[in-house]
Parts: sequence; C-alpha cells; structure tokens
Amino acid sequence: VAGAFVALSLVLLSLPLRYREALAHGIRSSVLLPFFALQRGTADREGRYEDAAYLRAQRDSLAAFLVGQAGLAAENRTLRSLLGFKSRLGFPFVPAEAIHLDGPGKEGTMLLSVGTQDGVRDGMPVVTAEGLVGMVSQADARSAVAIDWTNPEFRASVTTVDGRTYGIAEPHEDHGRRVLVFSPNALHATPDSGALMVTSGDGQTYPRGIPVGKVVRGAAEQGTWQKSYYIEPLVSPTAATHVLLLGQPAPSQSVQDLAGAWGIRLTGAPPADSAAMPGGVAAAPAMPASTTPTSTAPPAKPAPRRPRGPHLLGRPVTQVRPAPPAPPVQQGPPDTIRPLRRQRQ
Amino acid sequence: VSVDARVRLLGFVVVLVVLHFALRVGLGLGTLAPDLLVVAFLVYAREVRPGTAAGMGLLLGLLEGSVTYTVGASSLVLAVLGYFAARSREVLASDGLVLMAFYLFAGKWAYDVLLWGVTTMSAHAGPAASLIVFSLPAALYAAAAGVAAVVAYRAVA
Repeated sequence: VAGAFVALSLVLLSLPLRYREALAHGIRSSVLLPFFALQRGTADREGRYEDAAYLRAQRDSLAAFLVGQAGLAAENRTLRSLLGFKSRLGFPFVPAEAIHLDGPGKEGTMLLSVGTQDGVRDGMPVVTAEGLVGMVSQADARSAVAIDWTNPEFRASVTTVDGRTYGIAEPHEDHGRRVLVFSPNALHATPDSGALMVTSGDGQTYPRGIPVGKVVRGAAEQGTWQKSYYIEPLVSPTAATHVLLLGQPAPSQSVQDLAGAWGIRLTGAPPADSAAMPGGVAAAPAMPASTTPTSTAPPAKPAPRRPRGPHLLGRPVTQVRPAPPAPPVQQGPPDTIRPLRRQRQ
Repeated sequence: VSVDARVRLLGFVVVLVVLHFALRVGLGLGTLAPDLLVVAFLVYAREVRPGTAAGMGLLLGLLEGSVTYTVGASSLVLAVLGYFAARSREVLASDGLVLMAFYLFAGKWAYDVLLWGVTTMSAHAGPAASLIVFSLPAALYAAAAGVAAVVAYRAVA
C-alpha cells in the first residue's frame, strides 16, 4: 500500500508543471481558502495599526511635496498642452504583502496577499521603493505566487542609465553571496563600478527604467568576445515585505519609462522592440546610443545620485525640485502612479 | 487501537495542520512559526501502519506543496518519510519525551534534506548550506513545538 502511494506521488511529481500548478491552484482556492482570507485580513489590520508617527511623517512629507510641486505640475501641463503632447500616464499598481517561502525547495518564491480579483495578472513586475524585486509567476483569485531575483528562473533585461551597456541579468552565487550577473556584454562597453543598472524594457516583461542594482565588478570571462559583470541588487527580497505590482499602462497613451519614479534620469535611447516603448529607437546590445543611426538621445551624462531619506513611489520626498525634464518624446518620469482599485471586502 | 483513539489522533493532526496554515499563511508568520504540519504528520505516522502513513503523507504533501510551490515533491517526500516513520516504531519503541524530541528533530531534518534532494532537479532547491543554516534550527524549533504539542495531547487524551 505504501508503495502505491509513493508511486502515486512520483506520478504527481512527473506531471507537467502547468498541471501541478492547476492542482495547487485548486487546493488554494478550496481547502486553503480560509487561510488566505485570514491573510488578507491580517494584512489589512497591520496596515491599520501601523505606527501612527511614521504615517504622520509620511503624510507631512507628502503634503510638503505636493505643495512644492503644485506650480510645477500646472506649468508642466500647460507646456505640454502647448506642445500638443498628451499627458503622461503613470503605471497603475496593486499594493501587496509578501510572505517569503524560505527553506529548501522554495528558493526565491514569495506568496502575495492579492490575486486576480485585485487586478493581479501573471507576469506583473514586483517592485518596492528601492527597485525591482521580481515578477508574479502565478496569480490565483485571492493570492499570487511571485518569484524574486534570487529565483533560478529569474531573468531581466538590464541596461545602464546611459544606454551604452545592455545585458541579461540572472541570479548568481558569488562566494556565498547572492548577486545578479549580467551577460553577454561586449568587451568594448565596460560599465563603471557602481554604475546603476535599470530594466531596459526589452522582452515585454519589465517596463523600462526600474532600478535593479549597481555594478560591483567584472566576473570571469566567458569567452573571447564577452564578459559578465556582477550586480549588487538594490532590493533585499527578505526585507521586501510590502511590494507593489505594476500593471499595464493604457495602450492609448504614449508610454514612457519608469525611471523618473525613482528619481533617475535615463539618457540612453529606449529600445524599439519593447511593447512598452512604441516609437522608441533600436539600440543594439553594447552599442553606444549616440552611434545608433536613428538615435536622437542626448549625450550620455552620469546618472544623478538617488536622494537619501524616505521614498515615495513617484518621487523621493526629499527631492525639492524634480530632475530636469527629458527631451520630448524620448522618455521621462510619469506624473503620477495611480493605484488600481482594490476590491476588498 | 480503538476507534476513539483514532479519532483523537486524527483530531490532533487536524488541529496542528490548521494551526500550521493559520500561523504561516493566515497570520503571515512564514517560517517564524514552527513546521507543525510535519510535526503532526510524524506523530501520526508512529501510530498507524506504513501504508496509512504514506497515504496521509501524500495528502498533507499536496496541501503543503500548494502553498510552497512544491506540489509533487512534498507529497513524495512525506509519503516516503511516512513509511519510514511508521517503521521506526520497530526501532524506537519508547514513548518518552526525550526520544520523541529526537524523533521529531530527525524527522523534520530528514524532510528538509529529502525535499532539497528532490527539488534539486527543478533548480528550486537553493544552496546545500541551507540544510545546515536553515534546516537544523528549524528542526530544533519543530521538535520543541512538537514535544509541547504531544504533552498537551497526552494531557487531553
């Protein structure tokens, strides 16, 4: 009898992943549903009883920020209307609580307290105020499973803020320390140590401009023409207990990048093959943006330092004046990032 | 074993499993809460036949795997572990608390080791060092919680 059960388990294990996920989805939606409902209630209560002084400080910072920006926003709108541009659309997002599934067999996965009923879809990028965490891998009605950047299946197309260096970032263990490594990268395009890497917008998974990490150093050469670099990610997955899931922007809008939300100004040209970059300019991997025939990007400038202090998604509260606007039609920070309607209770 | 005893044992398993998911998922404690599911399963497996233990392992593995993204692997590991846990009565016949603590510690660590071994094939396993750094303290924690649960169960039963 025991052998039969073990054989049944083996059959279960050998099923294709989509069948196993469907089975797990069925269990989560039925037997375990009360626990996920409890989790949502717990997350709500935690938010309700969060430190009042901290919330007050955040509110005061936000109020000061809004007062300071009101004139600029109005001026911006006026200028844009004069130039005939549509107002920029921010990416909608869904806030969520993340529970990290530590331990053997659960590497780099986390359970999110929101699901398809809240607007969550498979493949949505998961971010925090510091930068990229990962992506939603499976969304159920009331919960979702996401992978973070330590998961072996994580991949992200990244670029430097000047657009000169492109690569695919993937998790790597460097002497017991979890980092990202990005490759391939042509030898002639060497990113500076400490250079900020952001998502490039290629691959249609992550919008352009989400901070990923900083270049630490070069890795061992993979061949004659390619070299890899280690990236120290900005977000520690275990510390990311509250995250944001980015939605899709309205297709009718001229979509820009997200770098401005983190106080970063991209100086490189956006890729043309990204769905999030209609009308962008193709940039070959490791090819300097200024040498791209159709590029209209300005000369590369060093990325501005991210301001210190508390952060709000949109712009850091300590930043009195926004970064200078990017050249028209190229890219720029969205004016607002609006939350999706959460359908709770 | 009488029917009453079986019902009580099943009730004990249900309570611990509900507590397990309530603490880890419902209250969002994650691994801050002990692995009461494995504790309940190990205690149950010692009281039943190997086939029954393997069947329960399959069921509980489905539940655990649906939350931890390890469907199939958890079932296989718990089914195998259930078989050996049921057979362990032949070697470890005593019901003393010290022996129970050792049994729960070894069982929980064996579960983590086997799960790591099975999931290595799917590249979700993580570094082998986690079996020392993470799993050993987790096994100690589970053993302590399990002994407390067994003491409470014996007091009630």
